Amino acid sequence: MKEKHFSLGGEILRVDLTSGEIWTEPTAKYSAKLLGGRGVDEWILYHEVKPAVTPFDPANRLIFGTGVLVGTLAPCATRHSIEAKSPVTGGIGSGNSCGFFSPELKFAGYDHIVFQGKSRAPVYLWIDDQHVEIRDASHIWGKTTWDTDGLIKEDIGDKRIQIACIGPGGENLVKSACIIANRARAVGRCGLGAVMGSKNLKAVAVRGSGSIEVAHPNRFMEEVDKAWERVRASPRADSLRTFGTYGRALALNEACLSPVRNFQADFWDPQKLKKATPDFYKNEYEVKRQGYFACPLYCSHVYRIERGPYAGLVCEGFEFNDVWNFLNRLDIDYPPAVIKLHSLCNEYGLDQDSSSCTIAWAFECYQRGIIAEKDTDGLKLEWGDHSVVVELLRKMAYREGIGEILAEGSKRASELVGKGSEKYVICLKGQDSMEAMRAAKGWALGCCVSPRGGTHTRGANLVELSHEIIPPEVAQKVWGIPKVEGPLSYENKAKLVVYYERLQAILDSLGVCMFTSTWWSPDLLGPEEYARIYSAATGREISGEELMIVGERIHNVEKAFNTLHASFGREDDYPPTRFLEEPISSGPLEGERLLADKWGQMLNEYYELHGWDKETGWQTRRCLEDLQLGEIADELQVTGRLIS
Amino acid sequence: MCYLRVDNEKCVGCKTCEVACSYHHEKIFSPRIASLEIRREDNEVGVSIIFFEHMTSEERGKRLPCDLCKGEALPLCVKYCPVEAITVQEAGCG
Ligand code: SF4
Ligand code: SF4
Repeated sequence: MKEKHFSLGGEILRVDLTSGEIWTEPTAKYSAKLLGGRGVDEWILYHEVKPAVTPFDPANRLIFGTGVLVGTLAPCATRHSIEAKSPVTGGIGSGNSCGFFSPELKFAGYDHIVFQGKSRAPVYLWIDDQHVEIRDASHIWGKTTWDTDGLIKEDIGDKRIQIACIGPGGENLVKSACIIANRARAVGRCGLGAVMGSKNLKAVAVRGSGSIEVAHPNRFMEEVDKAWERVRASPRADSLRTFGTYGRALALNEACLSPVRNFQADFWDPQKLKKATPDFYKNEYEVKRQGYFACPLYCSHVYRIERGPYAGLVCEGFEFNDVWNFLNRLDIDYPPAVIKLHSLCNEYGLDQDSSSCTIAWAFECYQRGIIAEKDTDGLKLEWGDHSVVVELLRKMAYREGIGEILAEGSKRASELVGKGSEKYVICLKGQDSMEAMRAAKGWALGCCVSPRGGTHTRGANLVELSHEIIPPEVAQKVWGIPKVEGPLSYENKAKLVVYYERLQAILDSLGVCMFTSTWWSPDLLGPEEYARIYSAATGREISGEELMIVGERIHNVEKAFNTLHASFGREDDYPPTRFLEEPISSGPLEGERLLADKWGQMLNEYYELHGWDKETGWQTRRCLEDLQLGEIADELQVTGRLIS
Repeated sequence: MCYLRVDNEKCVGCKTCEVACSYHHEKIFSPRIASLEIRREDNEVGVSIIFFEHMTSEERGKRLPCDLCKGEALPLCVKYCPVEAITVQEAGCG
């Protein structure tokens, strides 16, 4: 008899792709310490992958995790996390996305899947509740993610199964390869799709017919009702429902947070932006609004292009990032191009953030004469030419011509190209970085210190941008600071970052979407609310404060993984040089940049809040022991990267 | 008699109604026992809401018939639908 554990599928599925062996272990042994999802994934990764293992070594693990609340009626509990050692940074590889994959896996009875080894030939994993099978994928290898989705459904004879897969990008070990579920939901960053490809694993398909039980159903539903009401009532959540994540485009441009031409500017020509407003996409291209499992935000929108070079395309909608990525970044003055480029990335299984950044770097190299047509297979990399971008994405996915170099990401590509091209690389911890940062200091700090190598979803805050509407008592209550300062101030920003690092670790481990949380808007859900939902679901009573300590623990496991595997330290928590040296060139905040000395002070404050060493940026024994991570402290000590 | 009215155009395909329905029946979360099913088309554009009574016996599988949420103040599929794609057509349900 299986032991009963509330709000869990119950088991961790283990798959050795070298031997073909499949087995399970109970999830519960990890739950109290690390919740689930990202927390448990990273714990397993930390313990099973040692620094000598390289990212494409069969010994690397590829770990899928659902989350504690996934499958229940908690709002937006629909996300899956995927972790592995990253081929991009050499440190922690970690990403998160939504769709129907995660709840389906949980209904099949599994909270995580841990892959190890490497299959000799292409395969996919088929999970049909208790029946788990490694199947031949030779007929699917080489196919796009959209075709893969259809072919596997045909193979199994059921259109309603859920699939996470890679495209040609992952197969060809492209460093920006992602893992796609539901044709459009990407676990994007850190090259996780390439790790999947290195294992010859094309897809994971699942059908789950079981159930999730919670410990205190009535209490759980009371908390869920309150949470739904909050999400329903929030005006900012409403903007997601209407425009998706793109609703704040104009305001963010005014705030000089729109990357243009590889960050040569942070402000996009308002005349161009005027053509690409949220309203315009909505009226011109939207055919449907769509949500994933138990999601009252339904931020995803389906678009159809009826005219022009991309006529006939129907795809699930782009995110805000994609407008940054494909319109302003490459200065493309043709709004439907973003829909096309977004869908191409999904089909090839390429992360849009990283890919567009690498392409922008190449465009700037071309602009400055560092590379020319002889290096680009005859293509003219001229800003604004979307047809060239269509071509470059294909070349990257198949590593063809210049694509072979671009597939490595801009840092490695610049080492191959040389000739001063290094100067135009905008990376954090070796990964292409997509965010404009000069005009929002707390946002910048969150991006730069993120262990997974940049990204705004691990500690970067949005509240500084709406600081004027946040009353001091709310600032005190939520973040423990007297006042939220504006984006240009460095004050109290470290506190915001640490708060969101902890909260994000919790959200990713519960499997809920960050858009239900105070990250998106202070009137949404915070640690207290999640703690009440979690306690009722699991029967394990926990307070908001205690939950944040678990968040801190998870964050420290990630940090330690980086220290051991990639030796990252304080110097790796600095912004790209361009943001320190070149001021914003136009727009309302012209002249603004990040100041190294102020950055240093903010960083000191940040390390202090974590209890880490200011000089090196490393962890301390005391901080790790307080988090019950003494064994990690021991391991760090052996390498000399622990401060006692 | 009261009945439920569905609007496939409005439906965003989130399957919240399925999860809510399973909770009504068994106090568990399990879309496979729900009295209704949301079918999303391959290209994700079309969605249809299918009720138990319109399913073949094979499609029904482990599903339980709709009892219009007997005992609840409001049918749970109606209560949790974020877009009012399922609505009650006459008072006195539940
Ligand atoms: S009325 Fe109740 S039982 Fe019927 S489909 Fe809706 S939730 Fe299920
Ligand atoms: S809850 Fe409403 S919108 Fe969501 S699938 Fe059901 S009917 Fe459609």
